[in-house]
Amino acid sequence: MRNRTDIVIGVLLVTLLSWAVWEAQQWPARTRFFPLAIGYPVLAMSVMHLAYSLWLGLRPLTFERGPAAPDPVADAGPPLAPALVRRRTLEISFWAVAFAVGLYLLGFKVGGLVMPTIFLRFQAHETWLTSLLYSLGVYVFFKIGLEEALSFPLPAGQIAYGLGLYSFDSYLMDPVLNLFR
Amino acid sequence: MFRRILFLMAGLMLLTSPAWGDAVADFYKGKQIRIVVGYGPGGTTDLTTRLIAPVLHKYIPGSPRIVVQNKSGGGSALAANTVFNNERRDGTVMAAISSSLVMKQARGVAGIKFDGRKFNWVASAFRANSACAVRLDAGVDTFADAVKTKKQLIVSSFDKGGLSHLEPIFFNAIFGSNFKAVTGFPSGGAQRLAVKNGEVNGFCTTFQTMASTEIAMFEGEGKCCRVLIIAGEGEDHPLLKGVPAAEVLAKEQGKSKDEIAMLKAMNAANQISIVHTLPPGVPKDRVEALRDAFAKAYNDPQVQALAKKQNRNLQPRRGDGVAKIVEDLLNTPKPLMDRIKALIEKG
Amino acid sequence: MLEAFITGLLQVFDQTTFLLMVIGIFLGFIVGILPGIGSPGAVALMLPFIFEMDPVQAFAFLLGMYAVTGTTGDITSILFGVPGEVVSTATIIDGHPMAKKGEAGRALGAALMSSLVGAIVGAFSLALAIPIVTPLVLSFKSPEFFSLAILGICFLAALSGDNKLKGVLAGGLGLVLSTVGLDYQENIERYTFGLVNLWEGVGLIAAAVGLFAVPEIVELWVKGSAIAETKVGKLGGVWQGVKDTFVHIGITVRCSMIGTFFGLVPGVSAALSQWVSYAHAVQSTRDKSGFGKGDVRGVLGPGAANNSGIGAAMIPTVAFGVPGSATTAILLGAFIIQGLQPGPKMLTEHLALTFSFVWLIVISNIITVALCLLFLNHLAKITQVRGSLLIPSLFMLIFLAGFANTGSYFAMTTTLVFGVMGVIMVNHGWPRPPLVLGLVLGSLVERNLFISYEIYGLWFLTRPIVMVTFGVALVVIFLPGLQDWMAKRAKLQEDPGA
Repeated sequence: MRNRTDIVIGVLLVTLLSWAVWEAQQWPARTRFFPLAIGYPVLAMSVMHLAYSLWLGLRPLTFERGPAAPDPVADAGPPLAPALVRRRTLEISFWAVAFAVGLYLLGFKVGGLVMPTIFLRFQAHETWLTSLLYSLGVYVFFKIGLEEALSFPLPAGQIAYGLGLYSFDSYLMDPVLNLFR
Repeated sequence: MFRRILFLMAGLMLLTSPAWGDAVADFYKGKQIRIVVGYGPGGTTDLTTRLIAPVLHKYIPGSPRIVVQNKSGGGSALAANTVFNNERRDGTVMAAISSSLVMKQARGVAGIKFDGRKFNWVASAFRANSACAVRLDAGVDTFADAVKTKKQLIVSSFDKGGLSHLEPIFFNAIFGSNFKAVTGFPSGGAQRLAVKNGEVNGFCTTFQTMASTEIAMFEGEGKCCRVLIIAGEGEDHPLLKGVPAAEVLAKEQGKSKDEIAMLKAMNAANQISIVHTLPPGVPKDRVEALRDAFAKAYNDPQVQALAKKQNRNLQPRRGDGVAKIVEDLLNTPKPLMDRIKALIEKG
Repeated sequence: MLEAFITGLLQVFDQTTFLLMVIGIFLGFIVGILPGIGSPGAVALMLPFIFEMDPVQAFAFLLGMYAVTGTTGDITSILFGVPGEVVSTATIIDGHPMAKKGEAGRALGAALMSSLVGAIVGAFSLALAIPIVTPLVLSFKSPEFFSLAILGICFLAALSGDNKLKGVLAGGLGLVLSTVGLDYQENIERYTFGLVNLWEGVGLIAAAVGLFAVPEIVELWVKGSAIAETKVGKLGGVWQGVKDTFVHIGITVRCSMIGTFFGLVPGVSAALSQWVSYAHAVQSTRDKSGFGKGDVRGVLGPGAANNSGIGAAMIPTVAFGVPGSATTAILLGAFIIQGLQPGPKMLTEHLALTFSFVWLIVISNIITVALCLLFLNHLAKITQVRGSLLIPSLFMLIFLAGFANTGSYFAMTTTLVFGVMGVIMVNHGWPRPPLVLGLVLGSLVERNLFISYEIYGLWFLTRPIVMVTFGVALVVIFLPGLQDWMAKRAKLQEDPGA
């Protein structure tokens, strides 16, 4: 399993680097010099790596887990079932993308109100109260802390822009805040 | 419930915005204007914007709140593209960008996704001229010397086709000097460090920079450099005594109309340095109101005093004047522009 | 010299100045603890407020803030594995595993104390170095920058852990990625897919956050527990970290000096010095097995280097107008706002003012550390909060990080792409530090290679500093192998049967 993914990564790397080197060929001399100067050796190394992992992969049963690289996560606790690990990894990856898309569409303020609520209530199964209070905290941080106190502008998301509106929350908050200004 | 309130609010906004009394004041009341600066914090574009931002609201009818957003990328092309194409066109979003983008548009550089003719230019802050300076030990005392001896003068430049690169190659082409522009220096500081440590013979940038931030290079006991030539028609400054002004020199030497036009094109961006603009489609009355406001803000005593403290001589230009220069540059005849492009390509 | 050193110190203790510094520290702490805003953002946000202060006051305010954000960046690196800024990425490598082992307090204490030692050592070595600063700075030209960057690349190997091939390959990939954007010679787009967002290359902050923080978030969810896997015991306390700093005082001081040196050299990224000092901490330790899994020495090295570099980096900024980092670039802006002229006079006539800047950083550090020690143990408890509650905040912060840096939503894409890479790399034993280092160094190498070649031809390779640096690079490459070989031979002699 480990070897198979190593081979897949190796193939991806070789493809990517070959493309990078091929793409660079078409540039003027001074533009392509550096990309090629590092591109070729790195491509060569990636081929070596692929060959090595293929060789390891073809070797029967002397499966050997390479020593872990210095990486924080290498040191995990008690092992979890691989299926569970895969499911949760997929879940959280989905949420990472969902947060990015949500923030893009709604902006940081409204997105910060909506996304954590959905995540906490429906994925983490917190209570509605916890979820809403939490998200309200996030919103207050962005609106009051960043936008008001630090004048750090957080533009509206794409939906508001597409509809030709200001950030959704400004219709509610601005009249209130204008009272204090 | 929430949605109902939202619609109610939106409806109220729509109802209140049409012209009752002063339309512009009514529009800006309680709103904010976001100025998208095309560079990161701390640079000249950012500092100039932040210099006037605190007083700007005083001069805009309805006194909206002014917020500054930094959006760096592509030498401010990203901010220009975004404000031109993807931001609200009601006068609540404007851009602070580099005027040299217009030259890029004129040259047809890829990635420029705006039309300088359609921008609603609001104001520019400085009317600078670029200049070239060399080290005292470069073996050249005057520009005439440099032309006569054809001595190679290496100058440190940023990127191809921008300020600090255009000057040496244009002067070479028109006057026959022998500058060699080495591009790739990452910042103004790095460009000048290479001059100070003697790695290169000189540098070209706006004279404004030379006379303010880098004045120590030109006067006092540690001085290392002298100005060789200044673009445009020259300025009145002690450092420029006996220094030729490119356009004057060109006329004296009977250079062709095209060559003088090239010198003008080279210097055009500096003439409208640090420029603020609104996207196309903003109602005319708001554009005019902001043009007035910027003009007044640049003349605000507080702004003037701070600029003076920073050794910077604000020479604002109103948006209509900016638009004129932009238009002239973009109307450069094609054959001439092709020649300019070829020059830049050659490096 | 000494007089200026002391006058500079006294200037800090002016009432208003000191008060402004404390306000700066306070604000810096609040803003700086949020990953993403980081020190450039924090200082930039405060620029408008300094328009009407006098120079020492303005810098008291800004440097107080700058010094503390350097430290708070380490805090988020340790607690969440989210680098507050590029310069605190190295702290993650050992700091975050310590937090997972329940030693968050110890890691924080070590990071703080080494920062303090770094700042002080940095200040004193600066005072000693002032007479040679001008010649030193002026003798570093493009070929020397190039050779330093090459030296940095050789450290890639040292940062690769046990799997050298993967490490070097990751570093190479970082170098290849560093070529994304407009090239410096012809202004031609490379690997940009027509996106203006990529003209200035891959966003470093967004990339670092993606590489390091995203895998942490994934792991937090997969584990379904809090960050700390074990309860924080007495040993995991802050004081232990403070003591560690003095147990390994050699590493701390040497890394402080590394930081000072890299801070002094204009135009060489501060991000390089933290990796060099991390690599130094690894190389100078006999038993390397703990590194990457929570060895406190891996926290001390970069911690010390960061803060000693902050003071030193002010020198090229004020004396030559060449900022070495995003934050010093903004401080240079502040300098100009104040109507000060960066120039050699800052090292002669205005030396006291220059020293007051350095002192501001030292004293801010002392105050920060003192304050932090009071409640760090409480801060460390955040690692015991349920992971599912932390995750939404972490998501918001990692995406804010890239956005705050560039003002563009595009950075979120960068974070996600590098996040995927990060997860794959973690799961398959690829070290991530070389990738970041390659990304940081690529442009330094390329720019200076061309500039050197244009100006000197190939002769630039024969310049003395270049040759010395290359010599050091060779040592860096071959020393570990040589040590291994000697150790093996010694073992063989002892036990010929093995």
